[in-house]
Amino acid sequence: MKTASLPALIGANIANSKRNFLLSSIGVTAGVSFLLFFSALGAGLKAGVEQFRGKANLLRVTTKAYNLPFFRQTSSSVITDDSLNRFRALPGVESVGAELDMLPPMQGVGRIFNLGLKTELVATGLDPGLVADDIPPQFRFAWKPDQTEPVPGLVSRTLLQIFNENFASKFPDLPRVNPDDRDAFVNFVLDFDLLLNRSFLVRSGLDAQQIKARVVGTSKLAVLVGVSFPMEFVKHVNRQHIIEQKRREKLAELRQANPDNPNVELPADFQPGEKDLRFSYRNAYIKIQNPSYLPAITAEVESMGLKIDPEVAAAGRAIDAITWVMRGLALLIIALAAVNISQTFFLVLHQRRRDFGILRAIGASRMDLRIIVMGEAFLLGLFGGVTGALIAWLGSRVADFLAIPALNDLLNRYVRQFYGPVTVDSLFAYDAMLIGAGILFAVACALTGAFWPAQRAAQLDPAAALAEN
Amino acid sequence: MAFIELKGLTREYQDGAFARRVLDAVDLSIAAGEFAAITGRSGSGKSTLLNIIGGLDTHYTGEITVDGVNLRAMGDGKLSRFRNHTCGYIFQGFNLLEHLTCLQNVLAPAAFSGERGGMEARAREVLRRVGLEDRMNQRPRTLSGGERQRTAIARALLMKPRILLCDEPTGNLDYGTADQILELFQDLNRNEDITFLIVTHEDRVAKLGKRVLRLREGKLMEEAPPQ
Ligand SMILES: Nc1ncnc2c1ncn2[C@@H]1O[C@H](COP(=O)(O)OP(=O)(O)OP(=O)(O)O)[C@@H](O)[C@H]1O
Ligand SMILES: [Mg+2]
Repeated sequence: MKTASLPALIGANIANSKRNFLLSSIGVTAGVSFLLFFSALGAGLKAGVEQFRGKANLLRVTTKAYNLPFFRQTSSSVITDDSLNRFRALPGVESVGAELDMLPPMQGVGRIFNLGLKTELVATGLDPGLVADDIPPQFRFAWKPDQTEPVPGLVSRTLLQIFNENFASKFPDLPRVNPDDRDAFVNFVLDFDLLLNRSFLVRSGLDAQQIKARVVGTSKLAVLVGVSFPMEFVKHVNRQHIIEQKRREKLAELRQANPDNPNVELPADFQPGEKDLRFSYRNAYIKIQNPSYLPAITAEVESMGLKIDPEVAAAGRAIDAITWVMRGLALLIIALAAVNISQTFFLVLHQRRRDFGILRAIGASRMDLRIIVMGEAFLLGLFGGVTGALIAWLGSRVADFLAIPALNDLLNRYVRQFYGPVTVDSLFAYDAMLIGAGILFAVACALTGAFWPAQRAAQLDPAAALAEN
Repeated sequence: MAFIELKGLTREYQDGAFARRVLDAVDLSIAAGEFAAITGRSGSGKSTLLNIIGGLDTHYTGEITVDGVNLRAMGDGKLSRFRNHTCGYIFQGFNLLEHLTCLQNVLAPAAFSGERGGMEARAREVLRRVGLEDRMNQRPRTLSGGERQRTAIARALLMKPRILLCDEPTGNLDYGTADQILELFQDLNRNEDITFLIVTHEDRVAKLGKRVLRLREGKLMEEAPPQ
C-alpha cells in the first residue's frame, strides 16, 4: 500500500488500530442491524397484511373498530337494510349480503356416532347468496316457514379443525372431517337439535323450542365457533323471540298497573311496534368486482360511520407503531454509538498527538487533519453500517427459517378460511432504499461523533506536540 | 535580497502570569544556499526559532520573509503548502510514523502535495540517494538510528525543498554515523543548492557552517566558526 494520498494514509491509520476500529464500530453495527431488522420486519408484515387485503374481493363491513373482548369500540352507526341498499348502489359492487346474530340463547344437542354432545351454541344468519359456493348440490341453503326438513347450517373451518384435533384424535371411532372438502357432509350426516331458549349460562324465561338442524357444509363466513343458518330462518326466530319478549313485557306492565286483577289479559290484537322489529346486522359483506375498487368503497363506507375489515387496518397500525418504537430504539443505539465513537476518538487523540505533529511538519494543513480524522470515522460508519446490514439480513434468514413453517401452519389453520390458501416466504421486506438509509445514517452518526475530535486534532499546536517526545 | 529574512522577531511563552521572552527582536538574513549553524544553551530558543522559520509556530511578532514571501500573510493552507514544498524538517528524535514502512514514511508528504503520479519513483530515488534502497519495506523500529535519520532525510527531500531545517540531527547518533549524515548534508548543500539551518551543540557540526549563530538571552549573535 502506498501513502501518496490521504485515503491511503487513512487506510494505514485504520490498519494500525484495528482493535479500536472494531470496538468502535460494534455500537454502529448493533444499531444498524437492529434498525434494518425491525424496519424490514415491519415492512414485511405490512406487505403481508396488504397482500391478504389485496386478495380479498369480499369486504366485511362492521360497526366496531376493534372486536376484542373488553375493548370494543362501537360507533353509533348500525347496519340496516337501508345500509345494504346503499352498498348495492356503489360502483364496483357485485353483490351485498348480511350476517345477523340469532337472539335467543340456545343449545345444540346431537350425536356423532356413539358420542353424545350437548353444547352451548352461538348462531348467525347469512344471506344464502354469500355462501352459494360453499353448498354441495345435494343441499339447499334456504328455509321456508312450512319447512319440514332440518334447517341447513354451515360451520367454520376453524371449528372443524378444533373438532379434528381435540375430539377426533381422542376418540378413534370419530371420523376426521376435511375442512377443505366442500362435500364433506354429503356422506357424513351431522344432524342435531337446536334447543332455543335453553342455556347453561342465561335464563331466558321463554318456552323452550326444539328445531331439527343439519350441517351441510363449511364456510369462511360461518360464525367461528357455532353454526350459521339461512338468513330467513334467523329473522323468523328473532321476530318470534322479540314478539314473545314484548308480549311478556306488556303483560308484566298490565299486571303492575292492575294489581287487584289477577286475570288481566293481553289484548288479542297486541303487536310490538314496527321499530322493535327492525333488525340491525352484525356484519355486512360486500363482494367487489376487483380490489381496485377498494379505496373508493372504503371511503364511502367510512363516511357512513362504518368500518371495512377493521382488524386489517388495526393490524397495520399496530405493526407501524411497533416498528417505530423499534426504530426509535435502534436510533438511540446508534446515537449512543456516536457518543462512544466521540469518546474513543478523543482518547486516541492524546496518543496520536505526536503523529499529528509530524504530519503538520511535513505539510498537512488543519483541513488535512480534519479530513484524516473524519475519513477514519467515515470508514468506521461505513464498515459498521455494512456489517450491520449483513447481520440484519442473516438474522432475518435465521428468523425466517425458524418461524416460517410455524407461521404458514398457523395461517392455514386460522386465516385460510377468510383469504383462501396463503403461504408466506419471508417475514421481512428489504429494499435498497432502506439498506441505503441505514448505512447512510450509520455514516452520519460516525461523522457526527468524530466532528469535535477532528476539530481538536486540527487545533493542535504542532510545535508543542513535537517538543513532547 | 536575502533568501530568509527575520526582522524584529519576538516570541514569548506565557508562563503562568509571566510572559517569558524566548526570542527578543531577532534580526537575521540568510542567503540562498547558505549552510548556517545555530548554537546556544539548552532552553535558549533554538527549536523555537526553527519552528517559526518553518511555519510550524505562528505565535510571534515581527516579520519573517522566505524567498520574498511574508509568512504572516499566509493562511494555514498556504503555510502548510510552504512546509510541504519549500522546507524540510529533520529532528533529533527522527519523528517517523512508526506504523508506516520506510518507503511509506518517505512518501507521506506527497499525500499533502496535491501531486499525483511519479511520487513513488521519486521516493525510491531519494531513498537511494541516502543509501536505503534495501530498507524500503522495513518499519522504523527495525532500523538503526542512522538508518532512521536517513529515512527522515529522504522524507525531507521528497518534495525537493529549498531549505532543510535540522534540529540537532546527529544528537542521537554515534560519532561515525553522525559523520556520514553530515557528509550527506554538505553534499546536498553543494550539489542541490539546499539552504541549511542546523541547530547543534557540537563544535564539530558548527565547524561545517560557514556561519555560526549563537542564541543567548533571546538575542542572536554572529560568531566566528570554531577552528
Ligand atoms: N510550548 C511551550 N510552552 C511554554 N514554554 C515553552 C514551550 N516550548 C518551549 N518553551 C520554553 O521556551 C524556551 C526555549 O525552548 P526551546 O525548545 O526553543 O529551547 P532549545 O534551545 O531548543 O533547547 P534544547 O537545546 O534543550 O532543545 C525553553 O525555556 C522552554 O522551556
Ligand atoms: Mg531544542
